[in-house]
Amino acid sequence: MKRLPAIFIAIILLATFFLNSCEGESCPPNALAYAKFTLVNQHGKAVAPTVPASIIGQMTADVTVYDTLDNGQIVERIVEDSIISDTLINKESNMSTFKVPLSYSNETTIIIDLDGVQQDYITIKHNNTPYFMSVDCGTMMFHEATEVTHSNGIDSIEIVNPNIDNYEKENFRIYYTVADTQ
Amino acid sequence: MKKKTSGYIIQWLILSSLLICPMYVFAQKGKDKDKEKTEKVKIYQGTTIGVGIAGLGNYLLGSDILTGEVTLQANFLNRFLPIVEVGYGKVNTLSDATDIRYKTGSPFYKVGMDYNFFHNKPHLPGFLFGGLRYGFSSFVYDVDGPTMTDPNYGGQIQVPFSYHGVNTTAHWLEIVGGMKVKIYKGFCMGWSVKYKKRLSYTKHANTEPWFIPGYGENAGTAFTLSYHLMYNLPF
Repeated sequence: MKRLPAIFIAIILLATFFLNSCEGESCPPNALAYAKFTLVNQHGKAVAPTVPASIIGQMTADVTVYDTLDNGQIVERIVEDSIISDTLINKESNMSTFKVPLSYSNETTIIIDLDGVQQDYITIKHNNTPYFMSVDCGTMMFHEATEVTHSNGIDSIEIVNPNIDNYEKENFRIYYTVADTQ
Repeated sequence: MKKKTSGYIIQWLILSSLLICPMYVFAQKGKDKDKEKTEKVKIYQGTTIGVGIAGLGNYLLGSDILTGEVTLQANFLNRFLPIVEVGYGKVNTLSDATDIRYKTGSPFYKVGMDYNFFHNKPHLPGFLFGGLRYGFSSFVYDVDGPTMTDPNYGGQIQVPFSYHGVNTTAHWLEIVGGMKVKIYKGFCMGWSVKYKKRLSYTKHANTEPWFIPGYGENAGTAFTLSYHLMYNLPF
């Protein structure tokens, strides 16, 4: 019992330093939400194009443009349903998976460009959810895929996980028909 | 910087409490002990009212967070100390890094009980205790952030970020350990370390609460330190 004060003081000192070191924050690992795609063959096995592949994102939006008239006057004009393209991945070799951000629009088209030889189109309809978690982490945009369509070069696309947030996981599986080799 | 300041304040409060510890060592011994053993212990031994001042001190020194509480604690058998806490927590902060403003202010409530580890030593001027609390708060918060601009696709689409009047309820448990010491007549002071475990809170589609009144920053677990001034009511 006589040792209690000494033990107590030791606990207090430890607690003091421990408490100060405890102050931390836990933001998600990624500030941006990426949709992750996996390329597989008809048997579900991962495949990669034999040529470098680029990924281009497209969306449509009403864009404000400024025209300069003959008299030098600048006039503002809105061009409706303009297609906006963004090269998200440029000529990457041996790409069996890729992750790209979706747009803040409700529909994003992903183009897989196989070195100019073939272009496959994937159109994703999605809901967007602005999200707040902590004043230290900032705001984030999450998506939920509701529908996906594709061009003829692709066999099918499976939505593995429709929720696209800042935790990396497979969201879409793209099936290609690949000739079996001996 | 504010976090560091509050850290130093906490250290100062804890270390200043150490000055009281020698009282345990030099407290009167022997002569009262035999008397204590023979006396019959009363069931009801009084009620204490207290105020938490650490949160108020932090706020006055520049913190964005204000937390204050009033406690009412009964004493049974000098061993079991049921307690009710009613407090108010508020924050109105603007992050320099993210430019997000978070605002809330609401009461919180806690009920629980402490156990006096020195119950058989009433001759001492203070005691160590441990206890449990259940806390909850129902509150409304506002979040305003800068307009979100798509970082890709030419930055053509912008989405405003402003959510006001978000209703939330949070529940949590606290494990408490601390000390209480008489300072003058019926007046006492004490501090306690609280380990908090969040049980649940309401999530909304676009936001989750960053600060919960009475709990602190919204994490799964948290440590906080309370510093109380108390008065033993004369009944």
